[in-house]
Amino acid sequence: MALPFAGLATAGLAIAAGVRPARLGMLSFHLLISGLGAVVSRLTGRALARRARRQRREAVPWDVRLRRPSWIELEMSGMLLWGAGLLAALPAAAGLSSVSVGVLLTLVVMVEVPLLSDAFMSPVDLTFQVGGLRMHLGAVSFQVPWELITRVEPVGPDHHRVFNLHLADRAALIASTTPPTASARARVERLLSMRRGSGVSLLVPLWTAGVDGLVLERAIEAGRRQESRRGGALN
Amino acid sequence: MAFAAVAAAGAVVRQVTLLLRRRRERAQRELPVAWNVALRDPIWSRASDAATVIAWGSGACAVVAAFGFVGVAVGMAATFGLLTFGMARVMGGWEARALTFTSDGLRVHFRRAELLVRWDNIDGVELTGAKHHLVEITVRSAEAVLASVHPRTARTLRQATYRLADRDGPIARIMFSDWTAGLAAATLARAIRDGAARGDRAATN
Repeated sequence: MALPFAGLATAGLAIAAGVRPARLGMLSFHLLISGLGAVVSRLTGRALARRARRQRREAVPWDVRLRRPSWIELEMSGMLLWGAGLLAALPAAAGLSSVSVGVLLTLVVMVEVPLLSDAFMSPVDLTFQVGGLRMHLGAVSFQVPWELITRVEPVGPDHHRVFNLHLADRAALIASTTPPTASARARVERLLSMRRGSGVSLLVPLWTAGVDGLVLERAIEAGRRQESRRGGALN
Repeated sequence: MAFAAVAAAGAVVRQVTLLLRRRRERAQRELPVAWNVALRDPIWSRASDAATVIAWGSGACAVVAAFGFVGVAVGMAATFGLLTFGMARVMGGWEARALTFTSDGLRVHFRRAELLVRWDNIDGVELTGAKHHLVEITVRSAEAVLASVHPRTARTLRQATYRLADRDGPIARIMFSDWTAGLAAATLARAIRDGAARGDRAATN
């Protein structure tokens, strides 16, 4: 993380030693971008760690739409800028200024676009309800009744927890889409494309609904247990 | 100009390979899958995906170059090429390179190793993904699959473990993308189901 600042310090020393500042302009620009990315990523990472610690002490609220704050994206975006700025600094250091701009642009687009499309495709917001978990994709939502959650499969360590939700009866999930339009159903169908027999598995990424992965996993398990106490056995 | 030419060539190759794949898919519907032969995706078929990437990437570079930013376009092309090549290398290490249908089971070949999924170990075969372009087989015993890994090194075992996704006790799933072994997903799923049925019959007799 300190690399761009070391680079900037070196550029400063080079200017002090008599190198024309104009020659180092593009290099400094990329190093600044990289440094900015490092700072943003580090600060966001700390804020997320604090958020996770706080959430692990509190219960997840029910009947409230839990939203994912947009600043959460800054951790990955900052990391991306850090790496892209450093790589783009290499051709800039060799005097290939315009090539370095191409490198920076391509890295940002090729890495940021998949990140954004993942955020678009995954359920961003969640509402815990008595009847089940409501998953929101913008204005579209669908209901996952607790009894249709057959398994919660954790992936990764506690501090970086994502999980697969294994759901039964894909057709019922799609039928619960609101608003009940063809385009809304198509969006839910795309989300639920990983079929398992008549069911489906759904990867719940980091910080879905702005909730720490481990907290979310435990809250969903608690919802399932509550359902099993009210009615049939746990699947 | 050079970028536009590369983009055009990529687009032509993509269209031709897509047509050839469609014809191949139709032909495969009527023919049985060959056994005891390592089935691989032909080079021209693999070129289809690469051509798509090249066509889009060079097209974007051509637009930037047309505005006079040739250096920027060169930087884009270099980065695009390196990223694509790097991703292909990484993915190539994990994906199945070939499949062999044998009387013992389905032999899955990787870059440095192979494993055997015995027919009687297969619990189900499904087509999944948004366009039904993925084949997923459920195995009853992941341990039996891991025990068949050859050669057995830490690296090959890690590769095989990665293949066995979605573990639930002894059960695991193995996924194959479309055109693994040069077979369309539907053909591959049918062939594995047939193999598993054959294995069941052999076990009964």
